[in-house]
Amino acid sequence: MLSLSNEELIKRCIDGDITAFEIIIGTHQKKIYNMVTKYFERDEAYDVTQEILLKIFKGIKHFKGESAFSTWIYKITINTCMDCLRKNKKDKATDMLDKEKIDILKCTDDESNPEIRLEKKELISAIRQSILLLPPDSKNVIILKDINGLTYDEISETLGLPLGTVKSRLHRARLELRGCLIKKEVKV
Amino acid sequence: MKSCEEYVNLISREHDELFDEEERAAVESHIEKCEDCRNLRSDMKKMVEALKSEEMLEEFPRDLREGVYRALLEKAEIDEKDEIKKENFFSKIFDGSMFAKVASITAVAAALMLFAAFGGAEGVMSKWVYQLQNVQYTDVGVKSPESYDKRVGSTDGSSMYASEEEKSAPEPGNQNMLGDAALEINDRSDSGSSKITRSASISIMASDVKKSVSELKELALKYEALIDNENVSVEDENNGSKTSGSLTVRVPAKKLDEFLGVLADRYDIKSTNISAQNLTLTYNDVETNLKNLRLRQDALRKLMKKANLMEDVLSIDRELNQVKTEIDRYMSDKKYLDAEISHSTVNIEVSEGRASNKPGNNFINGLIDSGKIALSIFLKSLYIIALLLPYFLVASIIYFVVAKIRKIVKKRDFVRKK
Repeated sequence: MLSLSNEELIKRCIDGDITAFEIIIGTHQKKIYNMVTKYFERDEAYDVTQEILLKIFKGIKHFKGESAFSTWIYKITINTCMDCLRKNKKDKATDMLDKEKIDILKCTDDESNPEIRLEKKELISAIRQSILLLPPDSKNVIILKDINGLTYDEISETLGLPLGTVKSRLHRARLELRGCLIKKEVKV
Repeated sequence: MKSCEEYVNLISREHDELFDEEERAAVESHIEKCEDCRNLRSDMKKMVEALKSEEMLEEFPRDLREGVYRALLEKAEIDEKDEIKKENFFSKIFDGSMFAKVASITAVAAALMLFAAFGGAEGVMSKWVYQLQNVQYTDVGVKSPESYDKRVGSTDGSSMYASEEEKSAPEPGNQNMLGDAALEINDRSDSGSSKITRSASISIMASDVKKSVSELKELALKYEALIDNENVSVEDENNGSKTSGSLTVRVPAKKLDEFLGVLADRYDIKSTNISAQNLTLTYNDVETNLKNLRLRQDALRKLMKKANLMEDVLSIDRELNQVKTEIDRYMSDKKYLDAEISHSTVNIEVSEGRASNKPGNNFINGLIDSGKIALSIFLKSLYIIALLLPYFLVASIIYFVVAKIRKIVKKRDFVRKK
């Protein structure tokens, strides 16, 4: 259910008020951007994020309030990411991994220190890299649930999947992510 | 007792909203005994906490924010321009001059009329189909009936014989019959199609009757017509002589319409009368009779071969001659009917007088004729306006309804913006 202020903001967005749009999208744009960076390298992530925000602005007049605003936004985000991935047809994750400096690999090369404990910051960096390697199905649920903080029901609505499927995918995604971290000899 | 796999599932869900205390207690109890699950629980906790932490989210880049803002501004400008364009177009129609309003209503009326015209195309199509069918009636190029095809297949008449014996045996008077057979082959008939013959009577006014008759004759010959009769006579009507002429031609049936069209274009036609006669029944009767007679002829020939007594031979021969005479008569009838159907008779009467509807013969005649044409155009225009009137009314109603709705919407938008 939308709050009155949100409704008012959406009406203004429909009338072309960019400031109202910045307010309403403000809390979500960071999460949208972070989601996109899990699929695309930085330059492309900029373009894709811009495309997503424009789509949201153009399509806001069609938003009826039947679902949560965040659900609607993330639906657009995921669909746009999938469309762009299909257009490019490249293994984005591999490209991005090649280009990014991976501290984890550096550490594993260090033979004098086989057991390395990473600080939280390094753990976060390692998790970011590992998420890139996950398949899109697992990637989507783990980003929406654990990073963006959506509920199971909201994820189910966003991805158009039954609740049971969402739960099982999330469980699998978390195990896969942990597996990736262990493989890279990152101590969690 | 749960398996380790089930506890793994529970441990994974521990950080979600659907995890209850009973499940937590079960997990706590299990991990006291299972080291793997204990490690998994610890890893999961740290991993999920890291995922949920603020540090996991990168800041939204400033330059991206500016880029998005610029893109939104551009879009807003484009939208505004489109809105203005749309507004200008509709403004011209609804708020512009009277001419613009009338023009748009007329355009809608014309569109409605065209739409109705297409809907009336069914009537036109059926008329075309009828005309096509009429052409078929006068078309003589038709197939042979099957019965004839089986018996008459070559010009030497060989297939007229039932067997090789018959072919070799001499037949009395067969030269004529062979000739008739050849004629029969050439005289194709189809009892399935209609046989219509058309004729036309036309009266023409011409200043020079003799010249016109001569021209008509040349024209008819161009259309491969046969000239049946040609006549030019001068009558002395109380010392004011009057010339008249007539020409009877037989035009190939398929060219009749074209020929009549050319006459209408070139001459001052006073009257035209075209009639059609359906000869199908008569034709079919003749064909049926011919068929039956030929069958009878065949049967008699076969009997002739089997006859041993002179008396029988003479009797059969008499019968054959009778049948032959009948066949000749029907063949002659058929030839006549084919000739009637293949050509249409056109009887043209030419009388002396001024060719009135071709302006320019002399100045005053030209003026009168031009006046007549102008009047005809004016009356036709009135007719078209009268036809258009209902569509104009409907278009006007549509226009005013749309204008009203537009006003209401504009007022509502204005109030909302305020």
